[in-house]
Amino acid sequence: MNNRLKVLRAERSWSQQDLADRLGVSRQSVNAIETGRYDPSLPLAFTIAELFELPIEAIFSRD
Amino acid sequence: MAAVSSVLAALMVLFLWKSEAINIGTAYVLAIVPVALMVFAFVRSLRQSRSDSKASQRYLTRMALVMAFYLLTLFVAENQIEDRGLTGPLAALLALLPGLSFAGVIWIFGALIVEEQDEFFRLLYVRQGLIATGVSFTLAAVWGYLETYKIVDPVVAYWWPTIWCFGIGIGGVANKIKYGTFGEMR
Repeated sequence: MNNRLKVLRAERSWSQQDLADRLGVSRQSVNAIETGRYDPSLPLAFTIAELFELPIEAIFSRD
Repeated sequence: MAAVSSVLAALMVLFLWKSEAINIGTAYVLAIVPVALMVFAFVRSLRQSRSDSKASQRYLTRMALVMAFYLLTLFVAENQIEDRGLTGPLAALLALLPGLSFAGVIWIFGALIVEEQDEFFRLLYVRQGLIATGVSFTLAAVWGYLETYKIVDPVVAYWWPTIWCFGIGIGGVANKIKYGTFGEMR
């Protein structure tokens, strides 16, 4: 999976820790998702989408 | 590092006592060293644990209690059975206790996985547990057959769960390589 998390985060001038705090996960989780090492579960993907007020497919896409 | 040092220090005191280099009174006094190291390791780990992870903090507290139980029951069993010649049901019960502390280790690691709220860390812990199980069971099976055909000397069985604990560390390194984060290494 590819994702635009890093770009969306940068647009809001959030650090990885800021985003992690808003999502209720660890900074390491955010880093692993951004670098494509880890694909989030559907509930977490929905939480991310709700936070950025975007549909999931606008954030995550297939390789 | 301090946690490992505390266990090594405890085993060193046990070795000195069993080899009659020191008497029981001196052994109890020297036992202050591993206990102090364990307390230091526990406090330091609590400070360094992810502050938002209650599961990680509970893991450390539970592990400190089980390690203390293990060392205490090991000293008592050595003292009562080996040195004072205790026999019968009480000796059997005392001999069971140090080994049973490993059931606590497995339960604590399982509880860490169940209670962790961060799904990424749950993945890391599960991988560590599977890698540790794979390493320790494979080594036990291989060594068992080598023993059967008298190619190697028998090994005391408590080494296999000990190797499982080292396997958790190997799993952490594997996590770091694949996911950039160790998981739980304490």
